[in-house]
Amino acid sequence: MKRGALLLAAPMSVAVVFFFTPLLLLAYRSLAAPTGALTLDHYARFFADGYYLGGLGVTMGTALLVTLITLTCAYPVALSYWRASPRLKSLLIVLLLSPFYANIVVKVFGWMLILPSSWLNGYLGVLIVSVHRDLPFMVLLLASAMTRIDPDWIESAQTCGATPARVLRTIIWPLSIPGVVSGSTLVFSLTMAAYVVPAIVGGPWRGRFLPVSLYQQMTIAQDWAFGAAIGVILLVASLITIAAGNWLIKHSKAGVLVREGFDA
Amino acid sequence: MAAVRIEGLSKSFNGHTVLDIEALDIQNGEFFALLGPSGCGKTTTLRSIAGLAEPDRGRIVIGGHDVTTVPTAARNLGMVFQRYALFPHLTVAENIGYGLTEHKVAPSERDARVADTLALVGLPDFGARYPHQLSGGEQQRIALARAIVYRPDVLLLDEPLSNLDAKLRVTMRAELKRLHWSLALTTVFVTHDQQEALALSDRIAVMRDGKIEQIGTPSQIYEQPASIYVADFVGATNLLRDDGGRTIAIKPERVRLAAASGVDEPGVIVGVSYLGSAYSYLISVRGQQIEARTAQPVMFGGRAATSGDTVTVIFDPRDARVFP
Repeated sequence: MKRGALLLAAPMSVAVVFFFTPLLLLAYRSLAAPTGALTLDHYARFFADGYYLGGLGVTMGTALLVTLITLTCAYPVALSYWRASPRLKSLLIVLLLSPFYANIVVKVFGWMLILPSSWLNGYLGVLIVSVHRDLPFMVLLLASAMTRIDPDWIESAQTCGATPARVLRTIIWPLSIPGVVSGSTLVFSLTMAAYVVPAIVGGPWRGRFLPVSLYQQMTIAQDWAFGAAIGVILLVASLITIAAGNWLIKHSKAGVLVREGFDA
Repeated sequence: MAAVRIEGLSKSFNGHTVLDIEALDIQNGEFFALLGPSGCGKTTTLRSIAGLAEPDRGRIVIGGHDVTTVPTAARNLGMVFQRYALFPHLTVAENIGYGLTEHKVAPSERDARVADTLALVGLPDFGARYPHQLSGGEQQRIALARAIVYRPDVLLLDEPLSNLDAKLRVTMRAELKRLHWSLALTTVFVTHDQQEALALSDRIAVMRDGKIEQIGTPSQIYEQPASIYVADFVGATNLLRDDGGRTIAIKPERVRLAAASGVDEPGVIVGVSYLGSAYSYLISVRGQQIEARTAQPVMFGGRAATSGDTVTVIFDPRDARVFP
């Protein structure tokens, strides 16, 4: 226990210095009036202005949409990966990780060669590029949850009369929920906080994404306090959504897995 | 009509034959054991019947229907896996009801049959629990309940007792026998434990290297082994070489000991072990070792025989099997 605490001390101090302190500074900045007194004016401005409130809706809605599309695309890939032979698996993992070999900007140029440029200069572009960026994360987290599904459970279900579709619906899907939750949480947070993708492919939509607004406030409008308020709102909205997702999962049928760990 | 018929079943893996069965008929209502050491093909045979393993050649007929190409889900089988494989995300009642739902039984009837089956396996109040809250023996009973609740044509058991401790294993053996008797369900049972096979089965197939070495009732297998392999595998058997190079198989409990008197070559007791239900004597005679088992200790002149005593080894030739 003591040794564990000691081992944790180094990464914890890094987190405190380089993560929590800037966050606290950001939060403080969002509450500071030009006079130095504390004020909620910046938040009031955000929630009174339909433009920013709409931006919050666009950002969260897009993150949710990207999460759903990524999950839908990744699930069959994860299933095939999970059922593949060890040899095929090592090939698949190389292909799966290939998006990481190139920078996001390079990937966007790649997309420009394939897709009509009008698709990439707008909302659709944000969706396509975000899903492409997030897919490997989702597949890997889903597949790692699936490796905990005992093949005996599937064979038991088959002998009980379950067709492949029923096995998927009643056994594999509920038992992969922990991976669905972790993958969705990661993709949702990544997309909520993404700046580069909406900035370069968002076209007329780019300013509707809060990370881009935040950047514009801080660098163009030079309004650091309002930018900080946007940052805090973005963070809190992200945390609330993730907490709500976890709560829903824990109180669903598959919750017993998340609560108890299913090979207990 | 045979409940299960296997014809010309074979399977190779990397050029190595793992299964080669010419013919096997399992009768209706029979408790049939596939007995053999690990790697003998018994599990592959069971999995082929279930449709979980795909044979290279051969036919599998269940209840008169050729099911060789029928998927597992449509074969109407019940199967208990070695590690039980209860669905971790479902309660005990949902686990048992699973097969009923898949067989499209109405919810009201399903609940009634789940309750009946829970009572049948002696765990009537366990419906709301989850598998991880059960002991090994309880999981075993629930796995059995899940496999029999929808009245399968054949019940397949893959080493279902091997993960239980010794005492529970004997209890569950009796339980299995009782269930089989009350349900009259054709049961195919895979085991490497010869005692289990002898105690439970109507008939046994002893397997070796993918082939069936002998099929018979427990007493046939035990008393009249068809080969040295079967004699050696089933029951502790003395295998002796005679002067003609033949092998003589004789069970230890058929060997008697008497005081050495006027015999050319007496044996010498080299070890005595108390087995609880029997006494085991290891005797060295003509450079070979032979075991004798008796219910009572062997007495010589008012004292129990012990290591170093010279004895005469006696057995009835009718109890011995001679293999060339």
